[in-house]
Amino acid sequence: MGRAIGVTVAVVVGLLWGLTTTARARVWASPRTLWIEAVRVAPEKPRPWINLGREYALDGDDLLAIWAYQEARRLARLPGRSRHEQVYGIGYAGANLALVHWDRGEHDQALTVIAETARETRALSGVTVTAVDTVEKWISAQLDAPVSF
Amino acid sequence: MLAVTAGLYAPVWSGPFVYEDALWMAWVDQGVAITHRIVPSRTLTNWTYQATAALAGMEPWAFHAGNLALHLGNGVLVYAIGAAVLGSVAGLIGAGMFLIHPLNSQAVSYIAARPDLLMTACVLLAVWASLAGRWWLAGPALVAAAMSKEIGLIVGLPLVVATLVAWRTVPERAWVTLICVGMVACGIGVWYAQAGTWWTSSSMGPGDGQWTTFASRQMTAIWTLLGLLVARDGFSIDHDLTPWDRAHVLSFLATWFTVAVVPILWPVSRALAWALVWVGIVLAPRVVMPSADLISEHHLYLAMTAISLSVGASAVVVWHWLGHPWEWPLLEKA
Repeated sequence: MGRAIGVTVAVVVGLLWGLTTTARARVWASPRTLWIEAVRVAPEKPRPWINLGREYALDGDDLLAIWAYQEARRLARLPGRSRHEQVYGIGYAGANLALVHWDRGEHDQALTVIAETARETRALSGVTVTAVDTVEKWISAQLDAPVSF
Repeated sequence: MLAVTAGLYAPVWSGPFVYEDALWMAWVDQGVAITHRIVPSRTLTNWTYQATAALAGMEPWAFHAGNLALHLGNGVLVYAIGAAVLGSVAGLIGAGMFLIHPLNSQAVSYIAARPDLLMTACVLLAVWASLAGRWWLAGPALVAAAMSKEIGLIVGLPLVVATLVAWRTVPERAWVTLICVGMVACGIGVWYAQAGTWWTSSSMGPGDGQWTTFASRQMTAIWTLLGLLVARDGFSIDHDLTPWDRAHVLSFLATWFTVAVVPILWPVSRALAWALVWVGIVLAPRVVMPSADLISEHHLYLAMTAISLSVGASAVVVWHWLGHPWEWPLLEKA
């Protein structure tokens, strides 16, 4: 009787592990599901939101991307995150958000976001995050580029 | 069991490269086959990527197949070690847990986690070879571990020694060989591991520049992820290991309790004591050496080998006890 219970417990545990593992493998089969799941598990952490935003942007879901990047910025600004997370969370989310706005033709919003991001990251770390600097320069170059007819 | 494991991971075969996979694939594209450092490095891992690309092109399925093959091979090695020191039933249960437990799913599914899979394969091979007295194989396997992932240089030899101390009476000649291999490894390590620069150049991001903050956060992160051993949910590529003061205190206490319990467990339950020492050797460097990020699930892959075997040994003890519940079983091995 005792051993029958033991076998049953072992089989149930094995089944649960197996089912969870194959469910995890299914999540890993697509970057979008991977980051949706990461956001579900860690809804307060900026980085999964940034990566989810990237997947949305790559899939052409601009509005979802903007929402994800804005959420990442909001979370990165919250007290309790390490300064490292704040700097990079705000920096990467802001730089990507500016790019999405630019691609949508919302140039004013893009300029506002990148300027705000550069100011915030510099104030937090004293240096410029490379991604922010790159996007800032890229947007400036676009503005300076001659308009062709 | 191997076929079942392969079936469980079938969905990931159709998946593309994700997240940090791109960094490795960029290296492959650029034909960076070897770095200026041989040991410690990830040169061997990079060679496996290069070989995969040469054989099958830049097809994600081929890289996933490589990871899965390594995982299955590691399962066999876990069984071989378990059977050698704990008996074949405990080895089989331990290998089964190691193969299908979801905590290993990140290491298997994530192409960028190949260094952990390969380093584990090399370390397990070294342990199995030293248990079998095949010293000619143990040394090269340890060097290969250090060429798979940098931390392999630090943890490989101590794991071999801990296993031999736990399960074998080691002849003097073997000790001399081990010490020689260890000294050579340490010498190369001191030369190449950039011990000083690694320390000072690390961003220590999660610690906000303070090593003590980093160490306490890392300790909490480790215990949080170890909690997934008994969880059905909560597995992720990116955990939120937000600083929480009370958790730091708890994890600190749990760590010291675990350290203190090893000498008590050693004569009573060798398998559990050995597993704790193994896990400690694998994870201690992650607390001591600052890094830019906290621990991830795939970093627990090597630790999972001993954890699984200790569960296998415990299951055998419980099985005997269930058959004769009036007798408390001997725990010498389990």
